[in-house]
Amino acid sequence: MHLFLAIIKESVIFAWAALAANRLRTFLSLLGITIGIFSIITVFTIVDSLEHNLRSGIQELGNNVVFIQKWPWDFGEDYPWWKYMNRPVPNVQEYEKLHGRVNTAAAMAFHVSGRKSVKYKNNTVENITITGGSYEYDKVSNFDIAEGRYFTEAESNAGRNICIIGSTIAETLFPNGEYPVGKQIKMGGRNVQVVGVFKKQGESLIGNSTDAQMLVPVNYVRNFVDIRSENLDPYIAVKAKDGITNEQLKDELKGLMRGIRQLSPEAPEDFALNETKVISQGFDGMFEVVGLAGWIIGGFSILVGGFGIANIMFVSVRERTSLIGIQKSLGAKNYFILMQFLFESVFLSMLGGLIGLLLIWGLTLLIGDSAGMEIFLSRSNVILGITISFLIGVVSGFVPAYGASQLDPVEAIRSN
Amino acid sequence: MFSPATKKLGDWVPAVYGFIIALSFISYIGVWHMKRWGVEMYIAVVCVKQIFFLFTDQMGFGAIVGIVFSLWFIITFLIYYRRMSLNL
Repeated sequence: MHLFLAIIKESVIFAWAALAANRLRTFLSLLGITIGIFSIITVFTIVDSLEHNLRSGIQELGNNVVFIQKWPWDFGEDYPWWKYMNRPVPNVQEYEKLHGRVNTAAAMAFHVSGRKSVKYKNNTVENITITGGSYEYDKVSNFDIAEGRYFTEAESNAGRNICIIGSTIAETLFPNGEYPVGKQIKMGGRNVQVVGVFKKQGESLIGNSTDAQMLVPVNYVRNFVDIRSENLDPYIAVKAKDGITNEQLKDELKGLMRGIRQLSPEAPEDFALNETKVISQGFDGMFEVVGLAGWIIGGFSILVGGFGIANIMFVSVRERTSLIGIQKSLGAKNYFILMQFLFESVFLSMLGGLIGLLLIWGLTLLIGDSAGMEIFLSRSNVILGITISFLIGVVSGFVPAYGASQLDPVEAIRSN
Repeated sequence: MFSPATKKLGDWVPAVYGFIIALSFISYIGVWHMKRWGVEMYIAVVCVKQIFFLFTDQMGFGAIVGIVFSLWFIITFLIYYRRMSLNL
């Protein structure tokens, strides 16, 4: 163990001395590894950040939630859209019937959404998403309220003119730090009282961030909008009880919906039961392709970097041939010489890799939240970067190191 | 080796797989120089690789073809084993 540590120490000293003596040559050699690690890990960091954002967005929609809609989300190869065109959209009556009959659901909500402008005094926010939700909407959709509260059941059922606004809307309508809760804002000319503000979420890849959304009771919306209109994307979201799988829930919903719509046993379903896993599965393939592209781009840089390290190691062996001869004639074993050069190669390679990782880390700090979403260097990517650097050091340094270990001591001493 | 599919198996899985690949490379150099340690390392790496495949549930058709080729190489190496050098 002591000998092993002594070899590591000596190799690091040798490597550092070589680095200091030939700064430009070492810098150019390390540049290949640095660029390679930087390219690969940057791509993976971006892919991981995008994936994290997407999965968070999907989680907000609800993992164990089934959406009863007109259109299915999974577009197969043979997508008979003309058959789906004539389907009816889910409506409040169906929601109420379903609510009274379903056993496997923990919560259920009817949802519509449209676009309108909202105004408070002289401040206006144009064209925001207005979501109309029934009382249990907060149970089927994951969101947090930063200020104020959610609707009470009485308010929701009575269709009171109250709303919960997103953080971006709150910042725009109340720019001077005014407390939004309790204020009356105008939505399409109607007074609506703010009872809550959503917690800031940031951008979402699937566009379901609550930051620019306003939630109102669906019973309020139906007073002045035709909620049977397909333009409002009406759907029923159903959340499964604990211990109930989505498949079990879908089976029950299918039977109940067929009964409510009075479909004969032979008739095909005229509704779709959608799950969020379809979205994540759709993106999995895309992320794999982007990751693979990252490997192809960065792989070539790493290959060039590996050759650079091998080259510098061959030069290093050549420069120290007589020294190797003296070491061997004084009793140094072959493995000692091999380890000496191998550790040097690994040290140089890891130095290049660590510089690459530091650059990415600095970049993530620099970008911060300005990209509209959190970009972070994950632990798995740090491990990956260090591992690649280590392996490149081993693979590219082994041949020169092995060559050095096989030198004849007499020939080596005479080489200069 | 570091494909997104391998990465999904766990943070350390690509690293372990990477070590296996690097050790394979080193064993090839040993065999190339007709060294016994090359053959011994190659056999050890093949065994470790199969255990790794079993644990990560990657024992598919490709892995079985790999085992057949590895066995063929091992038999060939063992035929020449006595003529190989004992030194590093």
